[in-house]
Amino acid sequence: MDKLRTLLSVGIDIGTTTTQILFTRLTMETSGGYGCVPKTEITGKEIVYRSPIYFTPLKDDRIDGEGTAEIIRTEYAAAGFSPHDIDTGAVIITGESARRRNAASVISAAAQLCGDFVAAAAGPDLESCLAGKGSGCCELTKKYEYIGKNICNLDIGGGTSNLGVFCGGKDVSAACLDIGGRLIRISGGLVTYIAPKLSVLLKKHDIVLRPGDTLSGDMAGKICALLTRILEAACGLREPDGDLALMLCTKALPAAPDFFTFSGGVADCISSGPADFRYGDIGVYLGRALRRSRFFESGRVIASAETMRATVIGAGSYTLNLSGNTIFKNNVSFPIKSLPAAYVSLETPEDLENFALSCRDSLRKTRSLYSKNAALAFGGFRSPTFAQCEQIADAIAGNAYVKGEELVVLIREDWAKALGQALLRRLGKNAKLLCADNLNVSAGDFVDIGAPVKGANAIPVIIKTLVFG
Amino acid sequence: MKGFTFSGQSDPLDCNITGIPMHEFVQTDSPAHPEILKELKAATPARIGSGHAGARYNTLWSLRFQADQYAAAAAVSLECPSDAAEKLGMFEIQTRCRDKYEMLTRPDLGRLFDGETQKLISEKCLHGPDVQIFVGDGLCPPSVMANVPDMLPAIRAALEYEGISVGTPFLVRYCRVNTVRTVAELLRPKVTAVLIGERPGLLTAKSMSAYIAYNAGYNMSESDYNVVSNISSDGMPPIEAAAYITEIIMAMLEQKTSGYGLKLS
Repeated sequence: MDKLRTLLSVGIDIGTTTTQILFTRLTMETSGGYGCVPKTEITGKEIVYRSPIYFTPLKDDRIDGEGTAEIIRTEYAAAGFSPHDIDTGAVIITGESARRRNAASVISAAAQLCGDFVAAAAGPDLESCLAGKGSGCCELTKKYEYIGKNICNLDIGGGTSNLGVFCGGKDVSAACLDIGGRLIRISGGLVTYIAPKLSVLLKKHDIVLRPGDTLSGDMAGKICALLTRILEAACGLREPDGDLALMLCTKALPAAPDFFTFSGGVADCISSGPADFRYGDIGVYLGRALRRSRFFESGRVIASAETMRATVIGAGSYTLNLSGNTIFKNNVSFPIKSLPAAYVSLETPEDLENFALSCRDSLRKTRSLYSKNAALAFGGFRSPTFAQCEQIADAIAGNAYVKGEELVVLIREDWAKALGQALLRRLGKNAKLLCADNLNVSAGDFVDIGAPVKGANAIPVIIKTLVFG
Repeated sequence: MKGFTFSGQSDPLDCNITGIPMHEFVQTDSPAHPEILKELKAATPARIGSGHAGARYNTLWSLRFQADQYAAAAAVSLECPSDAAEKLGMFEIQTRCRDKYEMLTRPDLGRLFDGETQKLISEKCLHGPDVQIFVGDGLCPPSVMANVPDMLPAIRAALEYEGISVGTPFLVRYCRVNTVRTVAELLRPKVTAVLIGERPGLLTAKSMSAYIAYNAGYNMSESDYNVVSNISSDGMPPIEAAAYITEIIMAMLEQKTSGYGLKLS
């Protein structure tokens, strides 16, 4: 008794250099039936439309919101979709942090254009993770020949390099460096822009370069060789030094990966060799420098399935989770957007003792931190007894429920419906209540929750590990 | 992982060999990737990571297999404890099977009651409730005390909150699924449900199923049942199963049908 459903997902990546849009059809299958509790899973991902690659519109060196909106409108029309066709997806702003000063407003404007249930997300760790999934790196680690190996995807864009390490189909660690193909921009043979951090690095190495100077091919090659050495150091192929510390914008990778894949715009310049300053930047030189680097010397580079579009594919196809099918909802209106999660420890029966208190504290803290409603999340307790479930429901009803507000409880294990029914008995039928399970939410996460999938009970949830602070 | 993980860390004879969950039961000598083996073990209750001595199982695995096999076989022939009904707050009756042997060899008798028992049911129970729930030992008597104390109160509480009347529960010894038909004919509830021990396997010897039907009786067909199976602390948690069963019952009352025709959103 298989039921096939599809969801249309949009991914929008607004990067330092380029902006891309991609539409993916996600196929979901509900299995189970006679005797079995149904289970809904995403079983297929088909890209139905890829936009051309646009240069990100800029205004005063910030992202131009109106220009971006225009691209989105054009591409929705070209793809033949309107915002209400879209079931899920994500808009992310990636790359150089300086450009992101107005990111929050751009994203909220874009999200309104994109459809009802589109999450807005950003943050270097999330970018690294999405790029590694979109490039196919994550899939590679599930293959037999790479069992137990850490593979690092280097997504090298215009302003940043996002390093995402995967093992056994899971993200293991991530790091981000301010290294990209557009750290220097050139127009008519003259330098028009040098990224602030790069200026510091060049000064340190006694390289004099200012806007208005001409940039020779030799000099570009020398600078890119320097940047490449830093990437090698970041990946454990050489001793870390002060240069690495300067260019890192997150923590360094905790361990050296075994293999590497490359994605992002610069990855395309590694194998093919367009003209020197073809894109008005140093991307082509950076690609060449990488080709001669220790990455390739060591023979540990694996070809990626996707390069340029890795991040947008990640955003469009890999951000969605589905809850379990036995969930509980009462008077809830979907979608619920950007709800911060208050995590409470409830892993063993012993945790029950302090559960009520920690519920109240954690929720109060999270609510006041973001001055909005928060979801209660916990995981680890496999199968509570009826009495324990009643006790948990008492604690939540007494300490976490605010009259008139939605009470959202997200559990990792499979007993959301039981808890939901117990809560309803305490709060009454007018309560706005949602209990969903099979969701791995941690402290500090934000969640976007969509309406239940047609024909099944599972709800689509996007768990955002990092958003704007 | 605990216990005698990765060979020889403690004496197998000191261990309660079935006390270690299958998810943690590993006996492979120096695996190439212990972390991955751990993940694989967590992903399935199947017997992987067994190691071997030549073409055969290690002693420990052999013993574990036999122990689980015995537990499964023994579960079928065990009796429900005599005070089970009392502990569950219900009365106990017996089908026309005189003993365990007859229950296993004569399924037809496992669904019928003699005249006196029918009278007892008729006298002690509420007639014509919205829902009649009863408990049967079935092929796994140990599952009764393992699951019913959590399931029944949860189902009752949820149904009664919805204003649905729940009949008088009882425990049936030597019970087969189709006792549902007989009970339905006697008490005429709208929905009849039995919580019954299911055939044990190597994984769990405490697993239960629920068979539920609208307007059950002698003339119903097998496809009129809705079934929730694999209820145990290793499978679907008993309280979650109870919540799901409640929802199925409510759907039956609303749609006035069950089994193949029932739509569960």
